[in-house]
Amino acid sequence: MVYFIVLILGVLALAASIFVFIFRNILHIAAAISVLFILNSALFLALNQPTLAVIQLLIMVGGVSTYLFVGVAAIGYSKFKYTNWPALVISAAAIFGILIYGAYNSGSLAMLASHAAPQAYAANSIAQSFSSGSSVFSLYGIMIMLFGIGIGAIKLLNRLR
Amino acid sequence: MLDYFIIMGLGLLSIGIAGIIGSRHFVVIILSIEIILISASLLAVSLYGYSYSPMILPLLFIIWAIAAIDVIALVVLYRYTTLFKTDLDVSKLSKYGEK
Repeated sequence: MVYFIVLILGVLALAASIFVFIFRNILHIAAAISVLFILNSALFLALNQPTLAVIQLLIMVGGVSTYLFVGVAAIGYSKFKYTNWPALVISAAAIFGILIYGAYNSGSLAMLASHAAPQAYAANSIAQSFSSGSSVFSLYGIMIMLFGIGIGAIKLLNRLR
Repeated sequence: MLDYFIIMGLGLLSIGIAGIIGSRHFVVIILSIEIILISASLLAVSLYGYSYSPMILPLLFIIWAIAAIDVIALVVLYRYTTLFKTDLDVSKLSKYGEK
């Protein structure tokens, strides 16, 4: 039963990602990407990771709302033919073939698949991993990077005025 | 069951990369990068979950930070577009310098 649900969710996620390129209206594209985010968090639930699924949904709200705002505001600048379908289909098939060939010839996937079920990361284990070892330094690095990018973007926008 | 997640993640990754190759619209390219990041988080959570490794969180935070950078890049390019009154066509980016 779980396999069937995961299969349905996966097919819907792939369909939503293809609809991003089929739709012409930015509003519809943003709806497709938000469906993709929701299905991705449902797949996190199927992987026994409820905390990460909630965090993914929270990130979705911020990202999709910004895409909606910019996409709708720039709708007058989107009136040109922008999708090259032959290039998109051929490159997707070629890249998928190469990735699947590489993944299933490495041998490491078979070892991982022999494990029974994924381990859940509960909220307290996430808090522990925040406060242990090198994770803290990498999180500080990410925060400094984000602050730097935000300040750089504000400076750039001020220069454009 | 890991096979399903690997095939789904790699399918999303290939669609995202093909979207960057096959589209000229800046918003669609940014959303293709978003699809790549979704597939990266799905592959990371599935692989780390099955390998019982707790070191997933720094990697996930890096993926989410790159998603935030995407949004900032989109807002900055939208500001350029409205300033120069051009399309959101990436093949016309070189014309920004001429104006």
